[in-house]
Amino acid sequence: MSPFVRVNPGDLIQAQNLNQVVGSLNGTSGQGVPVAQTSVNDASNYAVSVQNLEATNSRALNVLKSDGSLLIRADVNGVNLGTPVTMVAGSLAGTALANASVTNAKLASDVGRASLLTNGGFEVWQRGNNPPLNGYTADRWNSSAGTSASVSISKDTTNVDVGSGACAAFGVSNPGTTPTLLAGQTVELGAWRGLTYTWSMRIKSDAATTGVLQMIAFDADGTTQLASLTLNTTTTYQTYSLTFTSAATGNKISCNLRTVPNQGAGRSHYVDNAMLVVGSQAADYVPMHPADDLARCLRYYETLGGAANTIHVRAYAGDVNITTFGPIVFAAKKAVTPTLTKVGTWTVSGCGQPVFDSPTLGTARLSTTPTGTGVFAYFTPDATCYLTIEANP
Amino acid sequence: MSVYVTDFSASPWEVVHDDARGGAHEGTVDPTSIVHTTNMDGSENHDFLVVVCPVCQASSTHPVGGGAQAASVQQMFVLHAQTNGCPCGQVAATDPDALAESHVRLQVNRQDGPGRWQLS
Repeated sequence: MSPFVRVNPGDLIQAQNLNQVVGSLNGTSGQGVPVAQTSVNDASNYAVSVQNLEATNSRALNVLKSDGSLLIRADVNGVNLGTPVTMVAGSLAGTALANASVTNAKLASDVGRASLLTNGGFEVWQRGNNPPLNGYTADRWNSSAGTSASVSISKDTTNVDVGSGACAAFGVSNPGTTPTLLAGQTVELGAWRGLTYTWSMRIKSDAATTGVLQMIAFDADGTTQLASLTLNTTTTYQTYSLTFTSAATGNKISCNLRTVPNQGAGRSHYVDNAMLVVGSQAADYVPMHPADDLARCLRYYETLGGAANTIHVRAYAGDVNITTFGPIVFAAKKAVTPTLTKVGTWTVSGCGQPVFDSPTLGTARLSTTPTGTGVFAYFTPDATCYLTIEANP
Repeated sequence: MSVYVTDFSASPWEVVHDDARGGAHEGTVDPTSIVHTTNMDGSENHDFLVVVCPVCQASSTHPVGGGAQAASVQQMFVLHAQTNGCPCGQVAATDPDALAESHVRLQVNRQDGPGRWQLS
């Protein structure tokens, strides 16, 4: 476009000079020139002030892109900006945000949030560090072999994620011709029904893999699939996440990491730092205090005894054929009525082996019948003798 | 998880003691060796069954709700009631199998609440 033409004293003003100014102000195509109020030197007034006295809309400013889309609009509704809006780092004070206006979807993963998983960090292995396939491995994490599968499971303190104490290692010799459940956890929802959840795990493999692992979430019935994700893993830890909504009527969900049938034989996988949070955004792992981590595990499994005299009952029988009872109080109330297991041949005197029975959510009893009157006793002599209490909802 | 039955298809039943220290082990048990616990008055308690590990003699007292292994334990209670009746007197060994299953399901609901039943 041509700039406006300056008219010097004594020059004749040509119509085109004036018309360009008029055309520019009227918005005639090709007649406008940039407005450059860059040399104003005025301490009192703004370089540019625009006010529309029409009271209903107060349309003061409308700045558009070349395609006609919005850049800046200022009117009675406030200021609207086109996208993207780039602001100087640190320039937006928290008070500028309306209260309760940041939704879950806007959160970054490093915003700490409470996890609904138990032992999401794979730190607690009460059943031992080399559990069998088929059954519970790390506390609350379950496994189940697919057809013809061969998988080793162990607690691993070498291949852990950053800052972690332990992870779960899976050596997949044969993934099975049907899926092998490597790490599954059934989560009690309580009143948290019908919500959107995001489950995430940190996983790496000994070599990059494509489509050999799958995350899959099931609803309360254990069979209705809520969502699934087939994974491509690398040799460094990556976060994999799955978002799903549980049924409004169920009281639990199940998060399962499993093999894809016939895929990935000979690979090892390391799994660490899982989270299950309410909302559509995954959350980075936030470790629990060890006391809280263990306490949550104890709701489902605990052991008592396991060392000399850690359980020791000694009493006096005043009559024969009287069954005596010793109370056992659990460290944590159980999720459901638990299975009780007495392991080992305990040392007894004047009575038979104690029987571990009558569980409630918080207590059980050791019972025995003395062989005669007088003092009788039973106790754990060493590490081979202990009790387990287990409740898996 | 405990000492529990993994295969009911033939007698003796196959059992596993999966959280045994030193590693899980397996074996078989005669179904008739699985008995109810005893109440203080000497009667049998139909809410619990005891399974003894054939390898290490560890004994697991399973609640009818299922405890550590709901599906297996509930199946065990159903088969036990179908074969032996229930000590409470509500089910006889000669009753139809469905009656035993209904009785056990009622026990499960009473112990752990609705939603705990795992058998189809």
